[in-house]
Amino acid sequence: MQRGALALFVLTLGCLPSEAPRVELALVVDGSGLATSATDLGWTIEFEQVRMAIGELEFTTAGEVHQAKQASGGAWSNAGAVLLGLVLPSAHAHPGHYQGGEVIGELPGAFVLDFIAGEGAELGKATLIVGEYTAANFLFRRASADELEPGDPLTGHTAILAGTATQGEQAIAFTLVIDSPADRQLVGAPFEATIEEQSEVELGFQWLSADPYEGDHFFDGIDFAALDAADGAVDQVVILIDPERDPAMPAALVDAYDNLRRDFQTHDLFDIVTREP
Amino acid sequence: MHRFAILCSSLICLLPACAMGEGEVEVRAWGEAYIEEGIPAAAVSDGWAIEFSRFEVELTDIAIAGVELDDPGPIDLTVASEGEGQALGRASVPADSYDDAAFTLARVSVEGSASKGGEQLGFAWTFATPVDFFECETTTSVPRDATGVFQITIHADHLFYDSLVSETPNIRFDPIAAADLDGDGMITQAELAATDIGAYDPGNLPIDDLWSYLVALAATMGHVDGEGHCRSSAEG
Repeated sequence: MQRGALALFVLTLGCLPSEAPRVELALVVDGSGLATSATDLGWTIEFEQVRMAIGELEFTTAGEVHQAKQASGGAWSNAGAVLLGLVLPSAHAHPGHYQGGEVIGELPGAFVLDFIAGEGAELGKATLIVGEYTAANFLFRRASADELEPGDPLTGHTAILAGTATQGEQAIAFTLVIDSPADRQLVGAPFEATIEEQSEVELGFQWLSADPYEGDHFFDGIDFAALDAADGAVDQVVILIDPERDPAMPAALVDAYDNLRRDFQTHDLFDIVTREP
Repeated sequence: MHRFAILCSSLICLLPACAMGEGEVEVRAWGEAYIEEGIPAAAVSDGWAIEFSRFEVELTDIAIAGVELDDPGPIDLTVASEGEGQALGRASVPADSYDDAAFTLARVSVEGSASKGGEQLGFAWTFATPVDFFECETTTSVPRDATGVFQITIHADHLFYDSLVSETPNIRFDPIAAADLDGDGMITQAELAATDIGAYDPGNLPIDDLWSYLVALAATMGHVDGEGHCRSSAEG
């Protein structure tokens, strides 16, 4: 998948007698993927803040379906998508997660998404060639100071997820600050839609607190009470940041951060849907 | 009859092979300096120097110019070759340019050690899942009455990448070194399988343990003519 592929594709089509029809549709923040729900360890998660910095969205068609039996269709040997067949159990293949498809739509630019306070905010107008869409790609970024209020804690980071984890009488305030590697691209977020010239929909960009296909909660496996105890102060507050910023971070918190960042950077918890404006 | 023979030989000479003649295509395998001499500490972000005492590959189903070579058997890429790599086979083919090369990296067995600050750890791993490589980004020119070379290049540094998806991954060994759970100086497959991948980035793949991560990395080692990529898929 090459950035700028859309431009090349359109240029190629421009040589033909008729240019492929295209539409411009608004891409908006869709917070409906956040739900107050329980993890496998019985913690009920209520989000107060879910914000992230992304950019350079691409919308694709076809490509390699993220499913073991179909992985033999091929993946470039320099891409991480290789060997899906080795590691993906076909019984749990997600529908619609295509990789390596042809880019036929795009929304370039840098964005900060706020899935709670910014519900419905328009990121821009995506340009899409009429066709069948299967997936979307985008870059994780680090938010810069010039796109945030002074002192915003998202500055220099990719995402902040904050809220309260409750189990019985116990309530723990958590803050997770995620730093993705520079130019880390997420490939294959589901975007299953038929876009026509007459389409009058908008596109909703969702982050899902639980995997809709397998039911896994983003915070599955996280024992907030254990982390609260491990951080040196049992104060009902857990803060997880990139261990590279805190070399003295206890191992339990490092493990929790690594696992959460790994899950955050997969396509399982993102979705792009069409919705009425 | 005579005119018929002249007509036939004229038609035959219109065929490309007749017009262009024949040459030979030679297929070689090279592990670059990283396999023959080791990966220096300067190239590894956490300062380990990695050396291989054996880096044996089994390449099968090697095809180019419409010809499939006999399987060459196991090849140890640590043998010094002064940049030439090792010959896998050759075939006579019409002089032309070919972009149809394909091969299977059927098995990789590596033995070696990593050293840093007086500490030395050994490893001996075998990756036995065949990976097919095809639609490679290279063109092999076979001149008339001469030899064109197609090289299968194995990138050993991929085994130690910290990301399966980054365009600019780092080479690291600290997390693998930490997987020597029994402290005996040998990092085994079982120990890697029991170790979480930590900060490594597997992309969308549901990989949690270091052995599965290395298996996925091993499948990316096959290249052509240096840095050329191929499409790939795992068998089985």
